[in-house]
This record gives sequence, C-alpha cells and structure tokens, in this order.
Amino acid sequence: MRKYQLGEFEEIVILTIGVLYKDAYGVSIKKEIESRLSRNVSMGALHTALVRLEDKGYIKSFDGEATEERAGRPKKYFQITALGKKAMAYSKETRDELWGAIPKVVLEIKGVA
Amino acid sequence: MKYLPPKLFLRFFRWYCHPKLRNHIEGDLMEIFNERIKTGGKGGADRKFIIDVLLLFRPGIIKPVNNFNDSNRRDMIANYLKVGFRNILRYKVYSSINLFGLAIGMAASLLIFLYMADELSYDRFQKDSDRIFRIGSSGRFQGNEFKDAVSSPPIAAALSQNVPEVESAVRLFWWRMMPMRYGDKSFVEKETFVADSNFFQFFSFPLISGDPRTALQGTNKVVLTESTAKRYFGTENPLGKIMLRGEGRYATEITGIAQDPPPNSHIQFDMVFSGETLDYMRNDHWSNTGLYTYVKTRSAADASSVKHKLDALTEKNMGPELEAIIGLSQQEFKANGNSFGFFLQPLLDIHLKSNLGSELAPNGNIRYLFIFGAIATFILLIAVINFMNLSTARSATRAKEVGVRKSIGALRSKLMVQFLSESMIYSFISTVLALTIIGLVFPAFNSLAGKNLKFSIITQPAVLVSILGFAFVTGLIAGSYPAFYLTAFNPIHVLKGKVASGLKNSSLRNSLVVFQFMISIALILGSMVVYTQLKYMQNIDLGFDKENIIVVSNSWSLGGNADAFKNELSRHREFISASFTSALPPRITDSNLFRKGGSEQDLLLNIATVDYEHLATMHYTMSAGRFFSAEFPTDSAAIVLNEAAYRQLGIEGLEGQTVVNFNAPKPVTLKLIGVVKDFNFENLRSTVKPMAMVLGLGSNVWMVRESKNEIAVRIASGDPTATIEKLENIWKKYSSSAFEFSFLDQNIEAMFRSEQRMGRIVFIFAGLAIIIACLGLFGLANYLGEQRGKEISIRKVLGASVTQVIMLLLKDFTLLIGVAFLIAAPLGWYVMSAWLDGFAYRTSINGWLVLSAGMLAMLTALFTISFQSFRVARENPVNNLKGE
Repeated sequence: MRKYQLGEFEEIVILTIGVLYKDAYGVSIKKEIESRLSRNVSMGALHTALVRLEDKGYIKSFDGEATEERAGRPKKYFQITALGKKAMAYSKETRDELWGAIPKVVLEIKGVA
Repeated sequence: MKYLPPKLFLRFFRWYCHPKLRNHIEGDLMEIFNERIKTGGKGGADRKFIIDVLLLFRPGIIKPVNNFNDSNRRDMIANYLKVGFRNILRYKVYSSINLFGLAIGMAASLLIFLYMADELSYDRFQKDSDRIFRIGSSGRFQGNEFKDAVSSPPIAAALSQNVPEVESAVRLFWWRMMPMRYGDKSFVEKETFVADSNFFQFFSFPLISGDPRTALQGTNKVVLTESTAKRYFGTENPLGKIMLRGEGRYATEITGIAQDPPPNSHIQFDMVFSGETLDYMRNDHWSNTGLYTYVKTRSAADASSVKHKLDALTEKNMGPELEAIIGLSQQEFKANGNSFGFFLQPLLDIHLKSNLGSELAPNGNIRYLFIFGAIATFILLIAVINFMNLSTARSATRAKEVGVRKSIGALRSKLMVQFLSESMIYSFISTVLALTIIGLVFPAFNSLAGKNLKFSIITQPAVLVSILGFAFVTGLIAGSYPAFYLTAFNPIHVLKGKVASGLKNSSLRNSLVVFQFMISIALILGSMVVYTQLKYMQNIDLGFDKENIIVVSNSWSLGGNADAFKNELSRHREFISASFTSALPPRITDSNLFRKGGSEQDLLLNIATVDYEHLATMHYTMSAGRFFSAEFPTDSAAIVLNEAAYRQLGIEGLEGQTVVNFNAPKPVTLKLIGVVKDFNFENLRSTVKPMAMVLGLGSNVWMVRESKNEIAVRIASGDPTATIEKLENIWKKYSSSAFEFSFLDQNIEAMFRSEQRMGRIVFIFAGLAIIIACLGLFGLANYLGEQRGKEISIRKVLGASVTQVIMLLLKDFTLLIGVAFLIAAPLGWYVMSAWLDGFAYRTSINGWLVLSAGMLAMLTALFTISFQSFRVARENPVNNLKGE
C-alpha cells in the first residue's frame, strides 16, 4: 500500500491548482491544463478528479463569487491542503529517486535513438 | 442576446447530479457554454454542452439512489414484519381465510404448472431436438383425407443420398406384439421396435452396456432396456445371451442394454431389434407406408428445402408405382383429385401438436394445455382477489396505523413497502402450506393426470427457485392494490376518525367479486358440459353391443390350433359365440383400395377380416342383404360393406354387384352380399368412415396385417371372473403365449381417456374455484356484518323481522352473483360450444344446464353467507347499541 494515493491525472490537477494559486476553479483549471499540456480535458473527468482529491483531503474548496456568464452560479475555488502538499512532495520524491537510479547509459542511448 | 443551453440536457444534468456539486458544476458548464457561443456559435456550443453533460454522467458525480439516510432500514423492515405477524395473529378468521385460500390456489396452480412443464418437456432431452424431424405421409384418395405419422422404407436412404441438408436419418418399425423367450421365462412384448443400426447414435438413448455403433448391426440382434432385461435375467448379465423370438423361435443375440427411455419421450421401447432382421426394411415401394422415418437436418432452418427436395423425389419415384398398382398415370391420379406426399414434422411438435394416424404414443393436446393453464391462472387470481378484497374492506382497522405512521414521517413509498412485505408474509406462508398440500395430494394428482411424476422434482434447485419467484409474484400482485389503497389515506382525516371509506368505496371490490363468481360459474358450466358429453358418448348407439365381449388380443399365436380353440369354446355354455378377426372397434385401422366392379370408381376402405360368427358375436345390424354364412361356399370371395362405403362407391342394389381389391398379387373380384348398418369402428370425433368386411380366408388375408389377430368372445352376462378364468385355462391348452385379454367396452372407453381426464380436472378445479371464492365471500360477509351491526340493531328496534334483515344482507351478494352469471353464461356457452364442435357426435348445451350451473354457484354462495347473516340478524340489538 502506498503512503499517498495520487493518480496520474489527479497529480496533474493538483499541480495545476498549485500553479493557479488563488484563481483555481473548474473552468480555469480546465483551461490551464489544456493550454499547458495541450490535451483535451472533459468536464466529467475534471470534476470526478476534483471530487476524489477533496474526498482524500488533498484539496479543500470554498464558494466564490457568482457572475453573469455563470448564470448566477457561484464559482468554487480550490486550495491545496497540507496533506495535499505532502502527497505532492512524496510523489515527486519517488519520481526523483527513480530518475536518480537510472544508469546514465540508458539515457544516453535513448538520446541516440 | 442571451442564449440558453439545450433545456432537456440541462434538466437531465440537474436530475442526476449530486446536490452538493450541482451548483458550481452547472456554473462551470454555463461559463464554458457562453464562451463557446462567442467563439464557435450556438450549434457547436450546444453540441459540446451535450457531450459535457453526458461525460459528467459518471459515478463520482451522480447522486446516490436514495437521497436520504436510510440507516434504520433493517429495523424498519423488522418492524413491518413484526406488525404483519401481529396482524395475522390478531385477526385469526381473516388470516386463515387468506392463508387457506391462497394456499389452495397456489397448490392447484402449481400442480397444473408442473403438469404443463412435464407435457412441454417431451422429447427435449434429445440432443439436437430442434433439428430432428419425423417424416409423415399425407394425401387424399377418393375423397378420403389421410395424415399419418408413418412413411415408406426407401425414403430414409433416398434423403441421405440425394439431399445434402440431411445429416442423418433413421427408420423405426413398430413390431407391437412379439412373444419372447429366455429359458422358462416368456412374455409377449408390446413395445418392440426394429431400427436401423444408427438408432442409438441418432437418438439420445444411452446404452448401459454394448456399443451404440455396432449393437444393431447384423440380423437377429436385439438391445433390451434395463427393466426388460431385469424381467428375463434378474441379476444375470444378459449381454451376449440368446433369446428366442416369435412363434418361429428365432435365435436372437442380446448386444446391448439401454437405459429405460425417459417417460417424456414419445418413443417408448422395451426392445429394439436390428434392422436387418426384418425384410420390410428392405422394401423399396414409396407408396408402402408403414414405418417411422426421422431425419436430422444440418440446421433447423433446412426443413423447407428438404421438404422441396423430398417432394421432387416422391414425384420421381411414385409415378411408376402408381401405374403398376392402380393403373393410373401420375397426371390421371392427380386429375381425379387425389394426392399423395410426405411432410416433415418437428420432433418437438409430435407430443403436443401432432394429431396423426398411427402415432407411436397417445398425444397430448396443446389446446387442453392452454385450457389448464388458464384454469390455473384463474384459480390463483380468485385467491389473490380474496386477499385484495379482505385487505381493502378491512382498511378501517389499519387506517389509524397508516395515519400515525404518516404523521411521524413515513413516506408513502415506505408504507407501500410495509404492506407489500405483509402480503409477502402471507404468500410465503401460503407457499409452505401449498407445498404441504401438494405433498399430500401428489399420488392422487398423478393418477388424475395420468402421469408418473415424482415429488422430488419439486426439490430441484431450479424448480424451487421458480416456486420462490412464483410466491414473490403472487405476493406482489396480491399486495399491490391494498398497498396503493391503504397508503392513500389522508392522515388528518384518518386521525380525526373520519374513515369508513373502505365501506363506501366498494365498486372495485364488487367487480372483483363478480369476476370471481364469473370464473367459478364458467368452470362449473364447463365441467357439466364435459360430463354430459362423456355420458352421451358412452351411451351412444355404436351400432353394436359392446357389453360382455372379451377380446383376446394375441389370438394369432394360436396358429394351427385356432379352429380347435374356437370349437372347444363353443362346447361351453358361458361362451355364447366367438369370432376371429383382424381388428375390432375402436381400432380397425387397416385400409385398402377397392374399386366398384365394372367402373373406374376407386375408394379407400377400412377393412377387417372376419368369420361366420362375427355378426352373432358383435350384434351388428344388417341393413340389406345377408352376412357371411357357411351355407354359401362362395362367400370366401364375397364382401360386406357398411352403408358409408355402399353410398360412396355409388352402388345401387346388391344383385350382381362386385367390388375389386388390388392387394393380392393379382386383383380379386368380390361379390357384394350385404350392407351392414354404419357402426363406429374408430373414435367418436369423426363420423363413420367407409369400411368393408371379408372372410379371413384365401387371398383375403393379403388385405390386412394379420387375419386372425384377435378373437372376440361374447360371454353370458353376470360376473365375468369365473368365465375369464375358464377362458384362460382353455387358452393355455392351445397357445404357448400369455393370455392377453381386455373388455371391448373398456377398450372403447379408453378412447375418451383424455376427455375424461379433462372432465375430472375441470370438475375438481371448478370445485376449488367455488370453494376459494366462497371463502372470500364468507370473509367479506363476516366483516360487513360487523360493520353494519348498529344499523341492523336499529332496524330491529324499529321493528324489522329477522327474515327482513337476512334478506337485506343477502340482497347485495345475490345481485353480484346474478351479474356474474349473466356474464359467465354466454361466455361459457360459447367456449364449450367450440369444444363440442370437435366431436362428430355431440350433445347440445341446453338452457337448463347453464341455469343449473348458475343456481349451483348461487346456492353455494348464499349457503356460505346465510350462516353469518343469520347470526347477525338474530343478535340482540342491546348488545350492539349499548356501547354509546
């Protein structure tokens, strides 16, 4: 059992929330991921990931302002929790460890190919 | 300009989305939608919106099915059950009426469904049963239609060689009576067959020992069933032993032991001999139909193309035969309105849908199966209606409970669950009761239905599961209406004490009572009609005296001793007369082609060979001329026709009239000496067919299968036991075969067995229907009597007499049953007339019969209620009025 459960897409979402800092809500997260990673993100996938991240306690949310183009519906802003930060750090550490463990030769050959 | 996204999808989203997420996700959707309108226009935005909504439809987003916390579900159900049980115990009369009625209804319908399942399972155990077909023959000859299960010997080979769709074919010949001997054991076997060597590969009759591929190869080989083998060999191993077959005592080797064929197989054999044993299997005449041919096609859909190719083959092969036998070319044959051909019949249709001549086993009847199924459903419905009526009539007693539950927050759906779970309790207790009842009546049911089912089939998992499902569905139907009705109460009204709506709102209840009695009356009428018809058929003048005739069915085994046997019989006073014949009613099935002398007029006649004493034995009536007599030696070439044949051949007068038969190697001309009054020699479903009688001498024996097949012995009336014993003793002096006898009147009775069975079943279920309906009526009357207690007391105080009060109470129900009768009478009349139309000899339904069915139902019902009414009417008004 891993210490922190963080799926690939969830990790992207939580990182993006970090990038957006105070301005992370549904639409902005979606746009940010789409522009930075040039991949399509469906509302379904994004909101499922957000629900799961919140359930795990990695992010928390609070209601924001309602605007006219949202037909009067409030925005919901997301913020990374302390636990979320730990999970991100853990995830990065494990990746780095793995990177470090790769013999140099592998990467060189990859460069040739 | 402000655009809105597609409404339907927005509403769909709002419906499924978890309420906590709904607001901000909808906001996100709207924001993106508005942005897209600016960049891509309305169409694209709408499309993308729909895609987004559909992609959001996933587990994390959808709201839970139950949107409020159901933590006490188990406790609530426990509470429902507890209250349910308490109600059952508290109102013992109603509960027992409900339970008992439901249990009887369920037992009856379960038994019928078991019977139906067994009938429907016929031949399904055969591997590839959906692509096995039996080839039958049909056609029309001289105005006589025939449709037979048999076909001719060369067809099987012709089909397997010329028709690629046919995978394999097997032929089966029914040998019927065959005396078999092993050591000192000897039996006359009836279910003996001759079959092609691939019989045990074609059909799924597994062999216990012996090789299914080779067991039936070579001449004089035989495969016995397990129980037949036990009869001859006990515990010995029969394989390789030699049995002696027939009067000729042909040595026959046992090459295999087969499992007994399952009871739901239309082929029931005790012994199967190898095909090479019988010359007839090598016969190559297409017109000579006498054995059963089964083919397996490559797929079930090939039947019609096989039929086409079979027609072509028949055409090709029949032509020359027709010319040779009846001297007509195929065109002439057809031009005379004749036809002859073969058809394919699915194996699975044989038991229920086939109604052909020469069947291997008595068929079931799919129509009776439908009737039984309908009766089963109706009986169950009557029981279910009892439950509905009593629950709703007694709603006042439960109304307060509903009111209280509603005011402390029960939802209507939850209350429905409560009432449904109560009806489930009833239906499951009833199921247990029903299974007990079934266990008790199972032997009686078996004899009634003519089946040999084992009670253990009920304990099979699949059957148990379907019984549980059955109980569940019954509970659901029975509980659904009360659940709707009882939960609709308005708590304010109920708690204020303004109820009694259960009493006023009774139109549905009344119509359900009418329905119950309508069914009961129709069933009573049905069973009355069936009984009248059976009585009618038993007493109809058959054209001969069926009483006091003993039939010995294997008299051919007497061989050369036949005359000596008959002579000895004539020396005893008990035996009034005796006659050898090829066949007796109701089974004169041999038929031949005859031609009126000096004409081209051909007719297919049923034929029996007889002897001089036949008329005296059977008591036929001559309508013209005379019967065969020893005083006229030329009678060996004489013929007696029945009136139908005389008419249809177009003969006038007897003088100089002759009839020609073509079955002997050369045509035989027979002198017509008499005409016998029509008598029934088959069943009473059809009118009398044309038939002829000849003496069983000389070349006449070519016309029938076996000329001295049976002997009919007319005995003096009185107790036949001693006479039979005497007959058997004389028989043993002349024949080494077992003494196989029957009574002619019983043989004829046996023709009505399926009608008798149906009559008894309808009778019993009509009785059950009326009992259950009256149970319900009793419950209703009981309750209404209680409810109207005060009213009646006041009436009595004001001077009403007991009689007046009883009349008042009976009036309502009498009216209901009257209405039921008015609906049931024409309905029952119509259905039963349709049934009677299937008989050539039928009784008519008269008004008295219909009326008496109605009266019977009415009297039973009034008898049931009158006790109750009488008690209520007799009660002292003080007891009811002092309460206030």
